[in-house]
Amino acid sequence: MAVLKTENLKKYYGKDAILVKALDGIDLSVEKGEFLSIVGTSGSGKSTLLHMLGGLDRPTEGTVYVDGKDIFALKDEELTIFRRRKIGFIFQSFNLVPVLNVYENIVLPIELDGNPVDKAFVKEVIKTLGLSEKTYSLPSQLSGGQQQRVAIARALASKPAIILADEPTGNLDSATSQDVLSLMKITSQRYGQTMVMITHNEGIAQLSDRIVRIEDGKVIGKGGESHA
Amino acid sequence: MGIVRTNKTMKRLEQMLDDAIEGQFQEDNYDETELSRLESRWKQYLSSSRLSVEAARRERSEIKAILSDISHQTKTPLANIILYSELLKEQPLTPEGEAIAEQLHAQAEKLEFLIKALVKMSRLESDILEVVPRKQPLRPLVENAVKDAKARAEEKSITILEPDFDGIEAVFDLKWTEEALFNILDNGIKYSPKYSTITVSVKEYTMYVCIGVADEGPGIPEEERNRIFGRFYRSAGNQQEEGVGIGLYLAREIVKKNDGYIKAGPGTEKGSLFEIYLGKGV
Amino acid sequence: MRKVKNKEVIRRLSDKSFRINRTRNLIAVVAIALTSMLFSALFSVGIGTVYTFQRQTARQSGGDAHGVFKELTQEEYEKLKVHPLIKESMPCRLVADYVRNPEFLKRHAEAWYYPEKAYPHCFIDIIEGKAPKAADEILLDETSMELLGLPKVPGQKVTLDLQLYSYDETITERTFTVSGVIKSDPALDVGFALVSEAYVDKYAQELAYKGQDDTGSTIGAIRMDVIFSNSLGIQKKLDQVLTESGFSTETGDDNYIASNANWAYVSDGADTDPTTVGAVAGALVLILITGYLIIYNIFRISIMKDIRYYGLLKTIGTTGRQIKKIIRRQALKLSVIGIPIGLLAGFFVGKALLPAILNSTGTVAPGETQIPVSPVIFIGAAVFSLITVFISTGHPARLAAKVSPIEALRFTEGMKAKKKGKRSSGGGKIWRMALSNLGRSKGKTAIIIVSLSLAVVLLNSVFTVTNSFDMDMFLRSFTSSDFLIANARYFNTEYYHGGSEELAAEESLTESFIEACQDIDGFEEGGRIYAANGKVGVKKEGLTIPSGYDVNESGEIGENYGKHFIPIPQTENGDYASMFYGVEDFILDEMKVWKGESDVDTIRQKLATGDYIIYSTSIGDKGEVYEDKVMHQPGDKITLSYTDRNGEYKEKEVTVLSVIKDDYWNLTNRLSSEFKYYVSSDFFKEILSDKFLMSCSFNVEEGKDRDVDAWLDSYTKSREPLMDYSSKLQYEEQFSSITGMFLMVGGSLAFVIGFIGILNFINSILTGIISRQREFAMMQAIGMTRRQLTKLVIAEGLYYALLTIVFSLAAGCMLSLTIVRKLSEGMWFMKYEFVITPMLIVFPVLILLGVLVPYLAFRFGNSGSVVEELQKVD
Repeated sequence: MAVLKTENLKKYYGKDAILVKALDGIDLSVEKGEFLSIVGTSGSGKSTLLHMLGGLDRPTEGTVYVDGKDIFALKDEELTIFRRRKIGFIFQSFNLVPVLNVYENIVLPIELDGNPVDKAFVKEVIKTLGLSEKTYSLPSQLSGGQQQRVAIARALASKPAIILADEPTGNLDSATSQDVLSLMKITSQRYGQTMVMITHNEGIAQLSDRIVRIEDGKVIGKGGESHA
Repeated sequence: MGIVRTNKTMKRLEQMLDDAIEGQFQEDNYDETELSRLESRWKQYLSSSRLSVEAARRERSEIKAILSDISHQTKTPLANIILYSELLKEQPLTPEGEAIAEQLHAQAEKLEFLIKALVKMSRLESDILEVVPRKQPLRPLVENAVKDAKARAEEKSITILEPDFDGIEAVFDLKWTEEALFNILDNGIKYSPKYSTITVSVKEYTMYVCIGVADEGPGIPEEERNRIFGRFYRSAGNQQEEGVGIGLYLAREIVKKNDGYIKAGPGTEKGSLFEIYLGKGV
Repeated sequence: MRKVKNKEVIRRLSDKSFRINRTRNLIAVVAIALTSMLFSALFSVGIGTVYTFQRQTARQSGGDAHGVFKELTQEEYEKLKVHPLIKESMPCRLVADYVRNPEFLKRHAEAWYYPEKAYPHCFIDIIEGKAPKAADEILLDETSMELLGLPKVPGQKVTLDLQLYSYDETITERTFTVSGVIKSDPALDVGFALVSEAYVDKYAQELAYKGQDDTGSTIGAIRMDVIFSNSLGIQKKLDQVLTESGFSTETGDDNYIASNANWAYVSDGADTDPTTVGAVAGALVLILITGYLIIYNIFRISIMKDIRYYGLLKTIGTTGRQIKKIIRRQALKLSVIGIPIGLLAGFFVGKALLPAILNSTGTVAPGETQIPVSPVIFIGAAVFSLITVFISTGHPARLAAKVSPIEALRFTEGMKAKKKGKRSSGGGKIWRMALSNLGRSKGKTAIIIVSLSLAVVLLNSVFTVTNSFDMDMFLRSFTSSDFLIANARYFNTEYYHGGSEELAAEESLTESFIEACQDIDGFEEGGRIYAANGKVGVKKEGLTIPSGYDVNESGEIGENYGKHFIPIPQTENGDYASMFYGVEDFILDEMKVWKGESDVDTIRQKLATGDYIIYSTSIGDKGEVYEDKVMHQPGDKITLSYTDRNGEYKEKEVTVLSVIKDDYWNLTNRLSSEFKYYVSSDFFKEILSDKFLMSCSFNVEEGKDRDVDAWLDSYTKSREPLMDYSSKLQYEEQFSSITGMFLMVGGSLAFVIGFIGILNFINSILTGIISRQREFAMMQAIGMTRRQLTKLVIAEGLYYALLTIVFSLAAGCMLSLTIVRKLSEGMWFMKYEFVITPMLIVFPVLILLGVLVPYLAFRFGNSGSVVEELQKVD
């Protein structure tokens, strides 16, 4: 069963002569446990696609199903709650909450939902990601790679249906990038975590189970449908 | 008021259970109520435990059953086939017949190897054989695997370039991981032309080490890169090469059990590059 | 439906992000503190005023109990006191109808029994000693002891001559030991002798009150002072207690019991005075707006700065409502710090301002003002401050709650700053850039300009109002001569009545005082005024009552005051009663003739004949004559009736020589009358008596006024304490204290609001610079020098200043010509004049601020640790 599915997803900006088709009918399906890369040049619409998948923005047309649920049928406030329960985000710029320490950052989505924190699981994730010694550090005291690892841990901690990663290594040097990517791969493998990663870097995309290429808001080739 | 609300909640809970039994449970809404959160967690539970665990377990036991059936049921006939093919070779035959008998024998042996591999695989998957990763030097792993592979490489006059490194440690199970690395090397040898070079490299990152195996073969088309790790997969263009398409699968399973992963990609110039990532245990 | 429990994490997020916003917190706390200081000062002054007046009235009415049931018998008392509405009741009883000691002739004394718990409510303040316990112990006030010629210490033996029953002149002498000395109440010119409960028991027989009878004696009658849970609707409660206890509230009924509410509470609300209500409401709104302007701006800026942060929270699943909660909580925290500081400061500011405000109105003596430490002040001010904070943070919180996660992300990634800064060569471009920078955030710019302008306009208005106080106008109406001496009663609310010779003995000016004055060094000349009320009548025949008067059903002439009709008072003979004044020549010089003969010499000669009189007519605040109420015109002939010194009834026809305008403060006894006549003092004495000596005005040599004032002060204190005086000097002081009050109150308000405005300005400039670090860096990268950047921010500051100047000039002028003009003509001694000098003086300061604040902020903000701290946060 596809954990994530889009149907004829379209996002247009502007009007008439200056109409920009950021997404122009995307059909995509991601299986549970799959690690999918979406590759495209800048301006190809890949970021817009990620925003749609994560319910950060609403499409002009088409639908996104997460766990079988049409997410755009939800109201804004519901969509936010949906996000914290179902989606984990990893961003290029880490986007940690500067005032919270590593542990607090990691459990933030869980606590926002008022759930009891699965301490053993979080501890294991922290250990897997090599953050044990930094548990109580503030983001500002961490290197870029460490910050991104915290972001991965945060995304994992609430055991979301999907983790969406937007150029997760965009702000990192190549050696650190490799670690971060390895961790993403490992965690997706170990926890059967579905991951969708956006990148412009083919090399990085090689890591994933499947690569979907996007150009001018359309999927090129036949990578859209899952074959796992 | 309270009773009405409780009744409503109870009804919804029952509905949720019914739906789950039917396998079609869907969250109703997303809001700050506990009921909504319960729905989400119920869904999470269903998808993580029932669907995946159950399905995986079922799948695994099915495969296991089939495999042991195959191995068990084919053992005697296969031994007989091999015996008879050997007997056949000792008979006076036409040169043509001799060649066929030779082929017959080789295929029979291959079948035996395949079945053995399948059994091994099924045992590995069903955790009958345990992979015990521990932190240890990487060098013996690379050295042993390369040594084993060299014998095969020599048959095709392929040179294996070994990396020079020292003091790097990683977390892995030596015996199994050795087999994994060997399988990858073996795969490289199979697909490389004669007189080519296979380069083994070791790169160290903060949290991982990467053992790279680069060959000068035809390379793997992108759409096949993941499929090559599938069971019995063999590239469409390489059907004539010997092998049963199980070595890479086994390699990936072993590495996974070591909390590492394998990545296949194009080489820097030509051929393909396999990389085994193993955690350093930091 | 049960909600997910996530308060804890919201609290943590709020608290942690609170901690890093140090600069904002500091400014916000100061702003909130200032706002709540303004509120609490306003509440302090308001409540202090009400309270002070209430205390004063309570003193005059004898206690601060809410109400009283009068003349009760013991049974009636027992029945009433158990009523549940009554929180506390105090049975006080008169123990003798009169105290007849000769020493108490002039200032009489009363003998009472008060229960001890009533002491604080009746302002019984024991200076020395203790409450009486034995039957022969009493408390006595210090003035009475002084009158008895005793040292003011307990232990003295006092014999009181008690006339127990008003109908029986028998004097019962009883000797007591003074157990304690109580303070004499200046508001009450009566002595008090308080006996113990034991006394009441001992003389229970003579104190047994049987209810009203023909004798009129009230000895032993219980005056029951009651206290309810609050002071609202006292009379209603009293009536309720009576009816529910089985008594009647109708006079004439057998079971009727008289009761009344303490008039100190009757009109304590501001509800009676729409101007006060308007002023208070206006001040509340003004403070609210001021507070709103800065707190709103602080939060808006802070949220815009952290917009990415809120976007991030939104992305990872923080709902808009949760974000609002985060911000609300921070606002609340800032309030928790800021409001108490402001409350306390405001209370003390109020305490400092109240005397100035009350004393300047002349109704409360210095030192008498008091602000109770009332929870209402603090709760009221805190509530208003909180309302302000919540109104001000509402919109910024919504802003943060509504932020789209995408936008926040884009903000991060793109940072595609609008490249306004093209390589600039000329200085002109910098100015244009500065202007367009202001336009980037129109809301913020508008708020800063409005909040700065508010202070400027307010300051200007305060000065306009103060400037409109006209001292000449003020003094002219109060006094024409340098000094005026009279009996102390004349000056206080009892006034001089001049109704009878006996009364005159207590309220008239003494000749000895006048003689003493005439001997002062610097005395130039003066004149006496004699006044008699109702002693001389005016025959109704031949008199035409002008149209301004009302007529009631029975044909009586008088005036309607609301529901009441007050007829013009009449003499025993049915003639109209007149207020008849006899004046010496000096006084004639001071009269302002409206119509008729105006030559002082002619007036003097004609008055001396006794055939002419001067009629004085009422005027309004601004000195205008009510033409429809002028009784006589010059030349009118009227017939006076009076009983002369020999007891003979006489009638005399006189001619109205001229009509003068009332000179309330100098020439009248300050009581209204429709027939005010002035004759020569000789004629007055001839037909009436020289006992009716009301006052004496006199002038002194120039430069001697201060000395004379000091002399009079000491004389009226030590030599003749019953006499008092007023002087031009006092009125001058009163005037300057009124203007001073306006300046002080308005000035401090303008100062605080100005301070808030500047704070707002600093905050905006500083955060503007800090949040534009990256933009500045980019500009430097494309070739803008630091000098040019500095110039840019200064140019922005100058634009703020210039816009404020333009705005406040426009608003200030408009306001000045409309509302302020109305205010400035509000009081009779005010004359509106268009003033913009204060603004013009403030403008250079604004320009200086406009340059200095950005300059310092840029120097400090662009290289200081603040930036690093903020960057760390990013």
